Amino acid sequence: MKILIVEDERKVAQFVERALAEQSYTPRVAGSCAAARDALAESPYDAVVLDIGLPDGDGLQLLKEWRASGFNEPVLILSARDAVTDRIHGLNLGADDYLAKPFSIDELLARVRSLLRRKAGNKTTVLEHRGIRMDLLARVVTYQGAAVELTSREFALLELFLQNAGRVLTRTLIAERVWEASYDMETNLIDVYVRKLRQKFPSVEGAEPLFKTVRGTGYQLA
Amino acid sequence: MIGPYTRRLMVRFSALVTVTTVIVLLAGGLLLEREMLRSMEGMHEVEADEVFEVLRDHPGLKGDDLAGRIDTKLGSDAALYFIQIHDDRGAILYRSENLGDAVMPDLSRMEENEHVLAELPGVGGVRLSEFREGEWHVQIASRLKPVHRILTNYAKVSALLVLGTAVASLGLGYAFSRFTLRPVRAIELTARRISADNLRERIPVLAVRDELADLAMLLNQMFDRLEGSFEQVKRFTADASHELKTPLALIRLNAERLRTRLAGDPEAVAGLEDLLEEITRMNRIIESLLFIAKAESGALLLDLKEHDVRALLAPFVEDARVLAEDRGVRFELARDDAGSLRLEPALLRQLLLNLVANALNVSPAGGLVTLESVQTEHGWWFIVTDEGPGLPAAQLEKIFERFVRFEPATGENRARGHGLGLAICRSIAELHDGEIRAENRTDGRSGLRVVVALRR
Repeated sequence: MKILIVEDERKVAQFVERALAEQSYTPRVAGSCAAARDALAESPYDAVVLDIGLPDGDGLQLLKEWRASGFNEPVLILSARDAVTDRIHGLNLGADDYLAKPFSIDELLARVRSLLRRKAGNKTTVLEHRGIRMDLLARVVTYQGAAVELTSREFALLELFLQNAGRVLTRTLIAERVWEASYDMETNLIDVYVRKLRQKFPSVEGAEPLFKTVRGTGYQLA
Repeated sequence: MIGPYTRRLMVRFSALVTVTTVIVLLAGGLLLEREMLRSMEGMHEVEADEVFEVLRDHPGLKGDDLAGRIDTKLGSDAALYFIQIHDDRGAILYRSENLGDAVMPDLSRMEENEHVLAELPGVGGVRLSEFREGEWHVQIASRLKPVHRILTNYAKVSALLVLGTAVASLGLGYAFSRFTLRPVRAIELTARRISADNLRERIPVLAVRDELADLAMLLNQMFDRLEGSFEQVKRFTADASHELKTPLALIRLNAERLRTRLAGDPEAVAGLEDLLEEITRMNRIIESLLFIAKAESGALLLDLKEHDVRALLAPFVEDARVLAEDRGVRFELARDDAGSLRLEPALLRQLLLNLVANALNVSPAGGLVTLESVQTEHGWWFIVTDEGPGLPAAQLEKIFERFVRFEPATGENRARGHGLGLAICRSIAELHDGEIRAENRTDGRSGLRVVVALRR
């Protein structure tokens, strides 16, 4: 999987490049609009991580050009700018996802994975993990064989955990996917909901707890 | 609908036209009177010449003989005039019969041939002319009555004309003011269209340089400056975001990298986690400050759309109940009016969540926090009421300012606020063309009531 990273901050680009390489992707960095155009003209890429503020132009303009010329691979926008308006603008121009700086590398990886998976058209209707079974079509959840009643928010949160089992989910990602909020919610709403999930899915004695807190970042379904 | 200025202009125009008409008609009346008197005097002169002819042809003729001669000479005209002849010494040589007892005034004091207005007893107002030749003084007078009659008729017609002009000029004045104000309306329409989302547009300036072109240019210059300062705020917030968040991103990435390396050292890991939490907190402050800066400068544009308020509140209320339950406080949606409102759902949810979270934080255990969603005549009110301690009156105004915090009454186990939550609430309310205010409860209980009043 070849991924193009368009980012002018050399150090940030290096971090992203290294992290993607560690996950066995094949990343390449372009530091400007011109370099990005060249790279994309030279060889095909499976996905693009695109920074908006570039020294020789606007990343959104670049995205517009690409979409107009028929480039259909997933694009993840990386931006230090205003989260609310830029996000809407970017998604309108054909970006597939949007991540605001400062971001967690785990979050970037999760999003890239999810973009590539969506591209592959991986459509599962039943999610299972350590005794939890979620039927997405029937919207039924069982734990150790017994049915569990969930509110719609709890269901959405659990689905997010199950789809990213074993990975760290940041608060930003959770807020975005479950609450459709592109801002920080200023409350401990996420913690309260995770606590409710913990009550409904108690860990089997002696085993590792299901929902782990990752301090300073978010949560993880172990 | 006629604007007040259009109306003023119309009335002024009408007044101007009417006054001008009155002046013209008055002048016309004076000229007419003068002309009629002049022609009367001209007739007197012709008659006098004929009388002098008789006197010259028959010097020394007196009494009835003279009268007979004169009557013959003047013929039927004689009846129209009052005639009296006397000599230098004042002896009367002739008096026309129609004078009766009336005596012509003595005009010998006057230099030469003169005309005066006089009052003859038994006859009334006359125009009197005296002509002299040798020793003879010939006085001829005619009644002023016909002149007065014509002038009276003239005045009547004039009054009608003035009235008609006044009415007609109101209509003309309306057309005139509409026509005159057309360029001003064009300026107004353009100026209305120019807002934060199309600051590029300018008022068209006509090639002719006149006062209105100057005004349009002045306004355009103002729009230039406005556009400039909006652009500046936008550029500043973009630059600030970039310059602040890029280093923050690097710190975060480095810290995360270190965490995996330090996995065996719990103390170091705890330190790093603190660091990560502080980075998140700092990022939140930057985001909030930039949001407020943009909102206050008018550089932030919302895409407001009509939304069903009940549908918007339903999931929010679910979250609020969950939060309240966690705090051991009750939450109730006390009023839930149906209807729709122009709003940005994510921002309105954030506003309400901030307010409810604040209310929950100050509530005592078991306390009640209520939300009322009330449709009003001109908009919508969202009212959040708590049972906390309330606030001193002096602080009520201040809590919506940046970095102002009031100490929560209970508990320590909540996320640390950064003192921008309520400032953001105010920005969001203002972005929705509304306002926010806090007041202490007036129903005898302690607690705060925060009202978000949005206009439709």
